[in-house]
Amino acid sequence: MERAAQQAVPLGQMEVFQALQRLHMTIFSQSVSPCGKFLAAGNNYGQIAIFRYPCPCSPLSMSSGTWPSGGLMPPSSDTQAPLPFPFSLSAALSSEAKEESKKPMVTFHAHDGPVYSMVSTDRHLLSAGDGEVKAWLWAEILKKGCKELWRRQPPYRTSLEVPEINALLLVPKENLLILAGGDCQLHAMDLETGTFMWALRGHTDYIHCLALRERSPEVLSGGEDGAVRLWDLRTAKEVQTVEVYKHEECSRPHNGRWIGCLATDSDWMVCGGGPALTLWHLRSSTPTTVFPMRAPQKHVTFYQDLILSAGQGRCVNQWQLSGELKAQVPGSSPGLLSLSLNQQPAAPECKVLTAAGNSCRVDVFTNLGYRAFSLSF
Amino acid sequence: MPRLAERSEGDGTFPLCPTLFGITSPIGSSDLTGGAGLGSPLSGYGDSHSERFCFLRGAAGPLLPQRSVTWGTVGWERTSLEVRHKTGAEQKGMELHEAQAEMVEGDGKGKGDDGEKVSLQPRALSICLKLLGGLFLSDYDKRFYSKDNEGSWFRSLFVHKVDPRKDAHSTLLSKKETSNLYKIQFHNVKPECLDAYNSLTEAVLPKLHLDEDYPCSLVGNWNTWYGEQDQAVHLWRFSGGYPALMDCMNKLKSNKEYLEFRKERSQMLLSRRNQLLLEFSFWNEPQPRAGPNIYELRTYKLKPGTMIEWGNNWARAIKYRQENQEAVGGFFSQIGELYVVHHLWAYKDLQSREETRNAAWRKRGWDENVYYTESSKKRKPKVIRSDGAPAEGKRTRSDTEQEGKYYSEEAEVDLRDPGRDYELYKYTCQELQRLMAEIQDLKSRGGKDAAVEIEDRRIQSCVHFMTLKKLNRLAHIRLKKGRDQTHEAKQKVDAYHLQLQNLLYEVMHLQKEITKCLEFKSKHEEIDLVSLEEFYKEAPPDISKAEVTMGDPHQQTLARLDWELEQRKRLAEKYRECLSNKEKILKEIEVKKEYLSSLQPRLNSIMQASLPVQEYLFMPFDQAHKQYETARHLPPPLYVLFVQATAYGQACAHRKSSQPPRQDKMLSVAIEGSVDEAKALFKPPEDSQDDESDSDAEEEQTTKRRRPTLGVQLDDKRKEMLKRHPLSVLLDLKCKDDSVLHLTFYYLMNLNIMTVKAKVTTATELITPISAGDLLSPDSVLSCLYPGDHGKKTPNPANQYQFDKVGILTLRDYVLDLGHPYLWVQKLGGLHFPKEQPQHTVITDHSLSASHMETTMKLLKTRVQSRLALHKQFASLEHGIVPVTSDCHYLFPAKVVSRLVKWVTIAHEDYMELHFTKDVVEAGLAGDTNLYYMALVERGTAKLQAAVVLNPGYSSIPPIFQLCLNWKGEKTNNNDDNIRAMESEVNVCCKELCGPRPGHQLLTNQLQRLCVLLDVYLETESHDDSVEGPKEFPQEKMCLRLFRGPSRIKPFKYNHPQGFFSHR
Repeated sequence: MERAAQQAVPLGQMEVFQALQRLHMTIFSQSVSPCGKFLAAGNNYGQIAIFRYPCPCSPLSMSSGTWPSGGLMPPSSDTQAPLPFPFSLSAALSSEAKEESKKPMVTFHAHDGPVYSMVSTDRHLLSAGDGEVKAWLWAEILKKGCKELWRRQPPYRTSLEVPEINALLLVPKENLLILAGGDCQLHAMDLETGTFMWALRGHTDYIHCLALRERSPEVLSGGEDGAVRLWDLRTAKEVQTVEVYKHEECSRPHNGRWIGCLATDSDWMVCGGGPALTLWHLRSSTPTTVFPMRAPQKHVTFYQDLILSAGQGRCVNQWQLSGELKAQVPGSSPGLLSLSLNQQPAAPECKVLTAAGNSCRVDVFTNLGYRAFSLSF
Repeated sequence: MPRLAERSEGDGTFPLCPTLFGITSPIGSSDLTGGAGLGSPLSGYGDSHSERFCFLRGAAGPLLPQRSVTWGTVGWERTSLEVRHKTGAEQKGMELHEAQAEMVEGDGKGKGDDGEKVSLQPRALSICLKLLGGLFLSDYDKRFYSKDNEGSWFRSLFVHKVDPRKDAHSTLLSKKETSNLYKIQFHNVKPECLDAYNSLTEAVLPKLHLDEDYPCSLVGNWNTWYGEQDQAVHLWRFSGGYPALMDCMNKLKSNKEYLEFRKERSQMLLSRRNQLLLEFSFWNEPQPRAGPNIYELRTYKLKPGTMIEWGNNWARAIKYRQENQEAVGGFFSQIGELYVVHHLWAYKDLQSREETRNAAWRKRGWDENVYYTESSKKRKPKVIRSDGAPAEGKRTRSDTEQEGKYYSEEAEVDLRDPGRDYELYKYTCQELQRLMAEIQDLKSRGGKDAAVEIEDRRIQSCVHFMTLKKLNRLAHIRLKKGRDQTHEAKQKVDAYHLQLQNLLYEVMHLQKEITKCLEFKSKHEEIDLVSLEEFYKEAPPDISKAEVTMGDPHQQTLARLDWELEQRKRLAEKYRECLSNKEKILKEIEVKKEYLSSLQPRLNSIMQASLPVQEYLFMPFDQAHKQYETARHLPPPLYVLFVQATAYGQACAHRKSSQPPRQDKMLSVAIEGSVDEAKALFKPPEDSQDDESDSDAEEEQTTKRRRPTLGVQLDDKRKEMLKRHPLSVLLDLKCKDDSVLHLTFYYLMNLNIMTVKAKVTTATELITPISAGDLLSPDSVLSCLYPGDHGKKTPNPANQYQFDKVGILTLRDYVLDLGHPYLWVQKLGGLHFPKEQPQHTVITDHSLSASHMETTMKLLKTRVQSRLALHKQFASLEHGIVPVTSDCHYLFPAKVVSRLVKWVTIAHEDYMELHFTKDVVEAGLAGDTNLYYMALVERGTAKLQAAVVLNPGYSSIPPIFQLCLNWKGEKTNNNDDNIRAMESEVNVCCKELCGPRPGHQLLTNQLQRLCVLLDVYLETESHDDSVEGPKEFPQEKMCLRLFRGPSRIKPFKYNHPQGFFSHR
């Protein structure tokens, strides 16, 4: 919609190329900076753009907010704040709402292939895509230095094709980075030394997503093969396997069996993809709630007592744990691939939800009610 | 003579001065001077009483019998005395009684005889009695006699007043018509006979006076002293009027003595003259008085009709002349010379006369009256007469002042006090009442006495009635007077007012004249004169005249004007000289021009002669020269273009100088059009502009006037505005394959822009595919040579205003006729216009043109070639064949199952309406200058629609594909990531599809790839395990992995030598 204004401008060769690139851009990954004020986004051309969260000037009252305060799970410590999203909508929309503020402050070319996944440590931004993981210093990025700190490649078996890395997961307690992707293995990298310590094999197809159970050091992984596997980090063994497509409640054979997204909270796990989005009780390995969403979901996350999910289609879906669709908030992209919730305690004022997908735009939701505006490559 | 001597003795100084009338002089003489001197009473009386009568009857009047005056006089005086005694001493206020008192005093020894006295008395009494009898005899009221005024008023009562209209003036003025009649005689005596005359008259006339039979008395005899000499004057009184006169005349006729006298007298006379006179009512009756006196007779001839007025004035004036009893009598003529008034005055001597008269002038009122009488008198001869004592013809006449004024009530009104009149009125009324009462009383008593008493009372009543009548008249007169005065005053005021108005008007007129004078402006003030200093410095002294003009600004201005005139004359002279000089020079120029024009034919012939030599030497200088000559008439932008294009063409030719340059010129330049027209256009550029503006104005007018022709006129106007320059530049651009791009550049004079028309000719005949209709059309072939340069808008921002004026919305509608005003065309012509977006300004002209020439020419060539390529490709695409050249085979696998089944052109609007093209439209990539096509690729049941946007900048700008797959539902980039990936593969990764330069195979390669992608998509589609039966599209392609990444993208990338597909 925002492009429509440029229709009258005659385009030269370069402009046409740029327009085409933007037209076919997909943003695969997002990561919030440790200070909580910046958002990194990676696209299919291997570029990473750093956006500044539009700085809220006055906290917005969330009285109309849709964040429930009670629910299945006890609220975490940082959700005690009375204003979970004190982001200033008015500031973002009025004085700060210029086009420049919605453009990335820095864009740099990080990878040759798409940037499928990014995570932030307290100092670094780690990005991965085409088989390599690269580390960038946030401090330098913000100074627009943009030089990679290091790069590591997991030990792959030789192949015609370099396998991609679809998911990165930080295990802060162990200071580990877990990588998973095209070679169907989970690689654990010691962030201290940069050495790959072990690999977990079990998936028969490439891995889409990872999730960490914080209480017991266990990692969940979901893959193209349709299985969610639970790994114990201490023993480096597979603990449990949930083959989602085998459960009739959630199986959707025409969409395939792949698990595209995964999230966990204590004994609960939600996963979706080819099969329907389903809430699982891990200990009993039974699906408790199947959420009635036809389109395959590509990202899911717990938020307080809600489940947020996104996938094919323009909307961010908000689910009650009971399976009720609480709300569908439309975004600007035809399909969403990632959601990012800025929960950094360092910047409580920038507590917003961002969603990105099959477009060059990152939609910003200052509360769950509607899309405030979009950041754009 | 002895009497004369006596008199001189007695008078001392005036020997010839007669004393007075006979009456007074004896008294006076006896009284004053020693009467002894005048001893004989005869002589004494004779002196003053010598009377001469002349009767009217006949020229030879008989001598009248003389009578002694003395007697008569004495007797009369005695009568008066008696009266006086009766009335008492208080009566002295009255003239009459004064005179009588004098007479009584001085007449103690009078020897008058009683007979005379008696005869006179009744006459006198009869007068008195007739009017005053009752008053005098019975009742003497003090009031009547207390003052002079009263007396005169009282006397006026006796004047009979009648209505002035019915009576003659004489009756108004005289005391009583029946009273005294006077006759005055003037006898001019021979000078030698004067004494004899005197003695003769003295002898005769007093007898008549004394004779009782004759009812006449001689008032006085005089000889003239000053005035007409040798004249004797006699004044007779006839008591009883005309009957008395006639009686007297009759008696005298028979009087022998008198006849004798006349006979004797006639021998002494030269001439005679007489008049009958009446007495003025207000004047004293002549009385005898003491002598010696001199008398003055003043005679006035009045204008006819002024007698009344005269009388009125003198009635007032006479009171001022009473002090010395100088007034003797006033008379006016009744028969004889008419309108004559005689006043008789008596003075002691000339000195006293002088004093008395002066005293009169000092009194207020005298002068006024005298003044008023001036108008009525004709002349006023002054005669001083003295008594003609010697009978010898020496006529002495005492002059009497004749300030004649007769009585009138109008005059009297002024003298009376209205208050007193009122009291009198009251008194009279009382008296009347009393009388009436008495009469009634008497009548009631009856008796004999009563009749007499009643008669008496009646007379008294009559008197009172008279008084009332008088008062009534006075009141009327007062009223009338008041009115007259008011009227007079009003007249005066009016006159003054008129005068004032006249004066004011005059003042105004004068003021106007003054302003006119002040406002007068002379012509010279408008002339800008040389300054004063300059004038004195430059002007010759005979004009400036400094000594005169320095002080006098008027003279100075005149002098300056003179100088100005002088200078102007001089300048005019100079101007004439210059004109003649100019004529001369013009003639010289003419001569030289003729010489120069005679050179031209000669030069031409030389040129002609040189042509064969040029050809022989293969040096077409002349041809080039001609072209350059023509180029001179090009408008500046076309000229720039021409020069630059020629230069560029030559440069290109030299670059590839291997072959003969002229034969295979890549770029050839020519000029088309009529040079003459251009010349005509060029010569009067101002005129044409003027016409332009004029027609503008006219048009505006006519649009207002005539509606119907508006459209026509606007059309004309538009044509005029869009007019091309008659010359155009033709550019032929040859490509390698011998196709030629013909460009014709025009210049729109009024819009100041250049346009171009393009035409492409190919070496071989082309089969024109339907979908390629627009590719080589002159309209679009050059569109967007530079990005955004559609050539449909005028690049000159000023044009928009011109268009508004004539109702052109955009130039777009006229582009087909005029050619396209591409920006690059302007730049080639060196025209630079500011863009809508700010940018650095480029210096125009040759440098601009030159900087654009090469790139533009290259672009033009590329454009033509790519268009030609497309043209060819479309021909096969329409037949479902995607032509892939051999050098592009490596891009595709050998086996491609999907087939292109349709290739059609679609309209822009249709494209916009497609549901799957929204993103492109929103991205601003679907402008209306682009060409739009729809391709359909099929494989089995799967149909892939591809909407193609072909940018005019193809092939430098790639075509854009939007896909829609109809297979197991409709799939677009919105709901299928792989479709999106396929679009990306075609659109974004187009560089690898360009093939060898110049990349004309891009479109076909993209189509071919689309077919491949469809194969991959279909073959790698994960088949549903639940669906029975074989897969529709078995996987034939070699793939490393089927899906990759979070989006689960299929392996669309073809790896050439190995022949497998992988992910990008």
